[in-house]
Amino acid sequence: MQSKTVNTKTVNTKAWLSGLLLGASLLVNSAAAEEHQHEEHGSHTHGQAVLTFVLEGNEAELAFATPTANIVGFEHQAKDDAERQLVQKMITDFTNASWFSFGAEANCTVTGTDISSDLTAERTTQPQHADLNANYTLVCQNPARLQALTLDLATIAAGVEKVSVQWIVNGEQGAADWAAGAGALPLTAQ
Amino acid sequence: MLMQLARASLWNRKGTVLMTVISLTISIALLLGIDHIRHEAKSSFTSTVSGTDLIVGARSSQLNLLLYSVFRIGNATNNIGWKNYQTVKTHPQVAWSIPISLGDSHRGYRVIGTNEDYFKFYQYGEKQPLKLAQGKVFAGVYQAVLGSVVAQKLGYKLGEQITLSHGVGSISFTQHKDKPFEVVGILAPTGTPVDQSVHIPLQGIEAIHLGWQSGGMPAPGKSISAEQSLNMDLEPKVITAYMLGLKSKMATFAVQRQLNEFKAEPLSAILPGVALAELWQMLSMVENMLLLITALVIVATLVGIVTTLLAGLKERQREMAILRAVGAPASTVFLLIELELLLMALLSIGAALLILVVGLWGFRELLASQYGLFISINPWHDQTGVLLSAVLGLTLVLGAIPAFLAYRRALASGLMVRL
Repeated sequence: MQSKTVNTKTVNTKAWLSGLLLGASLLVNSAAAEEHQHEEHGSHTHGQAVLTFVLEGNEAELAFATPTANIVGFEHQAKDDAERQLVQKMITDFTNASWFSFGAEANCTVTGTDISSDLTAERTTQPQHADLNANYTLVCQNPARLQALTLDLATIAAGVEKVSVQWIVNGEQGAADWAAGAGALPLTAQ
Repeated sequence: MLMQLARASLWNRKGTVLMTVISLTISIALLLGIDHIRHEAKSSFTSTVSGTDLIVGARSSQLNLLLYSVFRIGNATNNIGWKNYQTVKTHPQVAWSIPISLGDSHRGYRVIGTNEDYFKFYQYGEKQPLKLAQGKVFAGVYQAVLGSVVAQKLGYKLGEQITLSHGVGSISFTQHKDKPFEVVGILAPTGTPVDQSVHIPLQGIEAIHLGWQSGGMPAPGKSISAEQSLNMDLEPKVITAYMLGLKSKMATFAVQRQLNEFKAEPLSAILPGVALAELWQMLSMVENMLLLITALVIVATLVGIVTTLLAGLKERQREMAILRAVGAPASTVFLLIELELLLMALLSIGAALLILVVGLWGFRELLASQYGLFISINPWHDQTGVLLSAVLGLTLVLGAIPAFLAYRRALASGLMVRL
C-alpha cells in the first residue's frame, strides 16, 4: 500500500520537474528576445554553505551547495593522485547521504541522490570558483513528526563553518543558520 | 496576623511606600511592555502573508522587497516590466499571481493597484482569504475597494467619490482631482496592512497618470479627461511587484532560482517566510539588548528599594523592638519585612499590568496606522509568568538583606536606653 503512494508521488515529482524545465526554457527564450541581457553571478562564500529543504506530503527534497574549497581544500581540477582521491572521497561521502538526518520518528529514507561538482565536470575554460551541489530526494513515512534537521559535516566537510538553511515544511517557510558543532535545527515556523 | 501587621505597617508609611511602588511599577511595566510588543510584532508580521510562495520585485534586498510589497513600509527601488510579468505568469509551475503597483496614496493611506486576483488569492493569518464586508470587487477603471480601517476612519460609504494623491505623504499637493474613484467595496477587517489600503485596478493607476509622462502634473490644456482616458490603452507598462502561488511547493526554490537568474530584467524572488526569518534574526540582537536594559532597570529599582528599606530600619527600630518585646520571635521580624516587600511587588505588578492594558488600548490605533503593527491589549504571554516570578524572586532575595539586619538587631538596639 505504501509503495503505491510512493509511486504516484514519483509521477507527481516528474510532472513538476518537467514543468520546471519548460519554465526554465520559457524564461531563457523570452530573455533571448530581449535586447539588454545581463550576466548572473551567484554568490560564493568560503566557509559557508546553503541548504534548502522542502517537505510536501511524504516527499522531500534536500539540496546542499558549498564551494569545494570547504571540503577538499581547493577549487581547481585535481592535479595529482592525492587530489583526485580527495575529490573521489568527496563524491562518495556525499553520495552516502549519512551527513544529515531528521530523527527516527519521521522515518525518512533517501530515494535519489544527485551529486555534481565543477571539479568532476569536463571543462573548457578555467573557472574562478568551483562548487559542490548535492541533491537528494527522500520519502518520509511519518512527515508530521519531521521537526528537526541534524547535520554532521565535521568529518566530510570540515571547512563548512556556517550553513544557511531555508525550508518549506508542510507549507510553512522558515530559515535559520546552522553553525558547525550546533545541535539539531528545529524546522518550525518562526 | 503577620499579613495584618505588614499591611498596617505599610499603611503607616504610605508616602514612602507609594513612591517605592510607583518606581517599581514603572520598571515592571517597561519590562512587560517590551516583551509584549516583541511578541505581538512577531505574530502580527507573521500573520500578514500566508499561502504566498514567492514575492517578486526589482532586484533589491529581500527585506526591502518584503517590507514594501506586503507591509507598505518604505518604497521600491525600481519598477518591473509588465511584459516580463506576463511571461512569468505562463510558467507551468505558476498557479496564480497577484500584480501590485504602489506609489499613490489617499489621505495618508497607501493606494494599491492590482486586479481581481488579489481578492481571490491573497491570504493572511491561517490561510484566510479576504472577505468583503460590503459591496463588491471593482470591475470598472474608476472603482476602489477600501480596507476596513480606511473606510471606518474616513467615514466612507459605498458609492462615495474619493480623490487619490500622487506620492505617499499624508498631505499631498498634487492630487488626481480630475479622475475621482467610486467606492464599490469595503473589506472585512483582517488585522493586517490590507485594512490600511485603498485598492484600485491597475488600469486605474495607469489612467490617473496619463499625460504625466514628463514626471509631474500635465500642463494646463494637456490633461486627459476621465472619459477620454477610458478609450486609451490602459494596459500598465510597469508594476512594482507580484506575488506568486505555485502548483507544487517542491518547485519553490527552483522557480526562485530561475527568477533570480531571469535574463531580461534583474529580479529578486523571495520566500516571504524566509525573509521574515531573516528579519527576526536581525532584530533578535536589538530585542535582547532591550530586554537586558530593562532587566538592569529592574535590578536598579530593586536595589533602590532595599536602600530605602535599610534607611527606614532606623526609624522602625522601636516598632521592631516592641514586636519582639510582646513576644514575637526574631523570625517574625524577618518574615514581616519580606512580606511587606512581597506586597509592594505584587501591588506594582498589578499596577503595571493595568497601566499596560490602558496604554495599549490608547495607543493601539496609532501603532496600527503609523507602523502597521496590530497589537492585542492582552499583555500576558507564556513566559510572562516566568518573568514576573523572576522579579518577585529577586525582590525577596534582595529584601533578605534588610530583613536579616532587622532580625539581628531588633531586640538589642531598639529597647536600649540612649542618652
